[in-house]
Amino acid sequence: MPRKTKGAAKPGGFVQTTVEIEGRTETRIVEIPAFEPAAWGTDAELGIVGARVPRMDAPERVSGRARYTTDIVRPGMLHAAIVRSTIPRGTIRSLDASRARAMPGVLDVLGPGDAPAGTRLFGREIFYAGQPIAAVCAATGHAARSAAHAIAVEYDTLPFAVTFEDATAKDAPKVRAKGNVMENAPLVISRGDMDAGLKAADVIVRREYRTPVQLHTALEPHGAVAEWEGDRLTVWESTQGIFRVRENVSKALGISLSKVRVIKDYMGGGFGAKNGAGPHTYVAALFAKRQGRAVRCINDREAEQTDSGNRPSSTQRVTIGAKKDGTLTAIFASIDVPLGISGWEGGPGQIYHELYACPNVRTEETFAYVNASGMAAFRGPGYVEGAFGLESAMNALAKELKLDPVAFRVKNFAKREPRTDRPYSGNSLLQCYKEGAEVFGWSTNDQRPMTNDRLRVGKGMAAQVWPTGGGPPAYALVRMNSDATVDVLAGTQDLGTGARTVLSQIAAESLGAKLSDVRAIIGDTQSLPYTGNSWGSMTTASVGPAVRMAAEDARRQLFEAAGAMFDAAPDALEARDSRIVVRDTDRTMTFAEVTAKLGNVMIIGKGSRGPNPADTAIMTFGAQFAEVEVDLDTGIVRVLRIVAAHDAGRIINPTLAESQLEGGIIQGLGYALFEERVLDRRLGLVMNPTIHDYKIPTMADIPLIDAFFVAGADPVANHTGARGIAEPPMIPAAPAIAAAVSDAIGADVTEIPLTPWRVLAAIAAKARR
Amino acid sequence: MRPFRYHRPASSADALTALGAPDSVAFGGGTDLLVTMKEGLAEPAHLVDVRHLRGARDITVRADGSARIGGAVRIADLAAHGVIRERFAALAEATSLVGTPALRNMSTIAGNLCQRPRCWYFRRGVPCLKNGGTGCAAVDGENQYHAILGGGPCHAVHPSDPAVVLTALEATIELLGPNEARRSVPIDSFFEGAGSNPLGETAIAHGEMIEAIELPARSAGGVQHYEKVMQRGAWDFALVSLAGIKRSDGEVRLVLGGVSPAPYRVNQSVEEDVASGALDDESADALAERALYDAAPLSKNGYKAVQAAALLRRAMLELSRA
Amino acid sequence: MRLTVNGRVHTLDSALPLSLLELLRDRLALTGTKFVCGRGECGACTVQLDGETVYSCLTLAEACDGATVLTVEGLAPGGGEPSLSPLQRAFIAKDAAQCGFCTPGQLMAAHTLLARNPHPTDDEIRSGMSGNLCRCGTYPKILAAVRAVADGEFAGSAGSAEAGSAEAGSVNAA
Repeated sequence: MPRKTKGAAKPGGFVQTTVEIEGRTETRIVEIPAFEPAAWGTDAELGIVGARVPRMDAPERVSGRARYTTDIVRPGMLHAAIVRSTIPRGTIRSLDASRARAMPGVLDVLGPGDAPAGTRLFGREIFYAGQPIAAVCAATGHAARSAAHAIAVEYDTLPFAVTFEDATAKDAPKVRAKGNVMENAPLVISRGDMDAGLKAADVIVRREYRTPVQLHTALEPHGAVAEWEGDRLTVWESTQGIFRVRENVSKALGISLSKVRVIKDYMGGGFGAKNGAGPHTYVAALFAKRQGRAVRCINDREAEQTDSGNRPSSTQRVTIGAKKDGTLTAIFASIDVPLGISGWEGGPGQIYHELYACPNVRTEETFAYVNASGMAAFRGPGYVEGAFGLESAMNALAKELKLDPVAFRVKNFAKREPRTDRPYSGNSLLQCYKEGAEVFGWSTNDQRPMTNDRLRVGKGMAAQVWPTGGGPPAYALVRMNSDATVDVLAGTQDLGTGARTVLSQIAAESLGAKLSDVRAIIGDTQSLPYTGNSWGSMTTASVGPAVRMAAEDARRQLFEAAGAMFDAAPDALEARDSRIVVRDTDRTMTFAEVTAKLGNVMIIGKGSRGPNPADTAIMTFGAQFAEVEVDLDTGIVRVLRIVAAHDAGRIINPTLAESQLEGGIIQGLGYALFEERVLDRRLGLVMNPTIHDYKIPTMADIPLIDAFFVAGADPVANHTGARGIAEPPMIPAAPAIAAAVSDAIGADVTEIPLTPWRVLAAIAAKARR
Repeated sequence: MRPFRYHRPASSADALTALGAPDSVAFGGGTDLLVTMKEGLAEPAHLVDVRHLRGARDITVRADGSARIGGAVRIADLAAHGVIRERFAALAEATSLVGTPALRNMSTIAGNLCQRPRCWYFRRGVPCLKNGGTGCAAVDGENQYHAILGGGPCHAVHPSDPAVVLTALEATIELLGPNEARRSVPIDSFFEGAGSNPLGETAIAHGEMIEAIELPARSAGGVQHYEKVMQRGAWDFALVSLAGIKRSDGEVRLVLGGVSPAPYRVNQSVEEDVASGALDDESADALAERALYDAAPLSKNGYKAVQAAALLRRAMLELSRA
Repeated sequence: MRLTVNGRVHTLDSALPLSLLELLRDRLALTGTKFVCGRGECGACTVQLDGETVYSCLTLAEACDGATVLTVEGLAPGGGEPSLSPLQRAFIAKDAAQCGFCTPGQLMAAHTLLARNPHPTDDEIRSGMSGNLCRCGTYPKILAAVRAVADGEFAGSAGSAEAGSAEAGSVNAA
């Protein structure tokens, strides 16, 4: 099958390829691997890959031994705290640190003009409340925080705008130096002819949907510990991308890449917000240099909730039309997104083009800047917001058409990826509809017995698509020690996803080793080969093939060595459970016997990730079904049940993959019912930067969840057959829950989160009609 | 945070001496006090731990039905106490719905009554009435969690669940002050001025502490009901809550929480009508409307009136049938 | 001040930090217990204090004189995998830890819950664990782990036929 895009496909050569990350497409020049293992097809006989192996680092996680960045202690370590703006817009007239400097334990202060330009820190101009304006270094965290409070700042305030409407009004204040709206607005993506599509429709539904600003709320905040040895800097960072942090730090501080080492062992969640270095990283590094000691700088919770990224809000005005038989003829959405002070166009639009076969689709997205902290990628960025608009509109249209929402979707199933008109590497969305509906009991009309007539049960569903091909560059080494234990080396990260376990399984399977002999070593830029960020649900699909190739390479070398010992041809050998067998004989030797003889002559396998197949769409799909109960008197919604069926190709470890599904569903449940950053428009301040006022689900909010994968593997996508899964389950959860609420109350719901006030308002609006 | 001294007096006399010092406060579980200190909203110089005083953690039940709850009795102890569950079921129910299991283990009943409002303008240090300013920032702002009844000048609501039930039970707060002077304050007076007092929400004077809470015999038994509307399935303050009591002498008390700067007892004529006979859906609706006649929602909290009406209807029907 | 932590008696005299959490993490280097909110809102700092579940971030350190504390490091006295407690083994087998940052708090809340109520209903587990937030959404697995321990699935010593090693074994046999 084709594995190249442009240029010669000769092994060891370089070609241009495309990689889709977080819904964006990037063009890259990559190396063609020296060899590509034959793909594990759907019928491949695999023992360790596909098994429900317990998470290999779980013993550390359950014993308190796992060390997170916030647990790192270095000899003589100092502590830093960041001072943040309390106003949304203006300039610093004066910043007086004299009181702070005089406080016990305080060693150093950085303020306006004190940081290298590359860090973009501590400018005098204020663009949002929470912007870093100074930092304090002290002997203890308590002393640093107290001193940070003691810094007196005087501002000259300027008018500001924190909403899309305010920032795009005719006489809007200048949100930032450049325009308030992203250049070339609106961003238009279009296919077909919208007018013709609407004309062809028998039924048209028009709705305006709104989604809130959602905060990542990772329990471990952003943080770093920095330590210099001469001109070499080591940074421990809670990050999804150690190499990106290295690059950021190198650029910002003007030091070469080889002199920056970034380490990440365990991290307490990321969800998209921890993709690079941040102010805390630079503050720690700068103070560490000035003080000649290690410095720890960890965001406090308020900073974490106000200035470490967010999923931006959106307003989506959707017009969607279909023929009586359910054939979609037109999908149109005009979308407004206030990004915060910075961000990228990872908007709600794209999923409108990708989920259904509709000839006429058009989205117009306007991205505005507002005086609030900038957005960041957040699990399924754009698609999560877009799915709420698109899937809610699909459900509203199904109702108008008197069609079953599942049948309506099946009718509009896309056989080819409709935005780019490419074939799929694999697509079992129809199977997801079928199995999900069966498990849920979608077509039966059995209603749970109601406690009373004011408690109403409803059901709803929604679907999902998300690009999850992963791609190059990613490298791995597989190294056999003289006792036959195996080290898998890859500079990737385990966010809690299970990467360590999954990569170990792939290596053990490929090498024929016992899983218990294999250990994945990750998270250190100094000693490990490059892999990209753990974002875009792409670690397994990007790093997995590199690990597999490295393991195959190691096995080839092992067989060469064993062949000499057996006096057998290497290709007559097989390996399983760390034992080599000469095929069709009873001659065997354990790995340990071979490696013991080799001593410190090491077997080191090298692997890299080859390019994705040309002109092929690699996506993960799914359908979710929700059952809710709504108290018509109080507007309180409880989710009773979620069934989720997803297609992500081969599942390396079903247990860990199901955990990812449940996690995504639960974050989607929070998005549907509770989560909403509240920003006071007059003050420009976040009112709920605490974990209580910003409400995430508790155990008491969790429904019965039956989340599973439809069977299959995707050997076209890459030779492991696996696609990504981390983000997809979050995408359809909120629209499925909203559809169930709508079903329960008999009225449309168009804005999330579905707080009691919104649900009661929807009920009241229906009563008025 | 301002440095403070921690005291752990063994006797009431020592506690009162320590509480007499400037900027001295009684310390129970610390679950709110320590937070307000971290927020810079409280800067005490002395924390006087009153949990080890004699009787402070005792629940005394008397033959006549009345009970006395020491100020340092923990919320979890109240929720689990057999006689409280039997005689004052609404109080047991309300305490079982406070915060989380850990918070119920840590916090005391006195501390629960003295906790500060959760208004985010207050907690974020916005210069409102409670923070030394003049107006209420919530009136034209993000007021979805604020008061619909009896608000003003401050519109923060009182966050306590037990306070709502204790108001319905007509509890008395026993205060112990300088020179071991005792005074009994009916709970409604205890919270009087909660919406206008910039310094606190209670009648506690400097140097005083809550020694105990008295539950009168007349409030024991009967039909007791507490319902709390929470956004999440757990760990939320009440959007709206309702304590509904039909005493064994036939009298009815209805007190709303989450709607007002202090627990809000509905008009007594409504209580009398509930007490006087069986209600049907229609008359319950009318009574709920009367109970909420004074409701004056702000821009974003009209839903609370709907929830309050629903809770009233449910409780009134239940009590009138009892 | 005297404090017994995981069976060890500590005598502490110099100026104490504000909270028991800081005392555990910064003074005693027991970093298993995590700081997340510092406001009693998330449960990451949950420990057992005199037999009961508390949030150590809001437990005044000075008020703990004479107290007995159990932290996640004390659940497995040997510290190593063979001596992990049934609950810890259940968390591993049921995949009840994703990022693991809330896990020490979850374990301590569950440990104390089961000590006081060895046979809770699912609803009792849900409400008993509702003060411990998890952002990765491991709740269904945590519930399953606590349920399994309550049902005796992990009774007996480690190394016996527990789900973890049994499943690993089946992998190699597959």
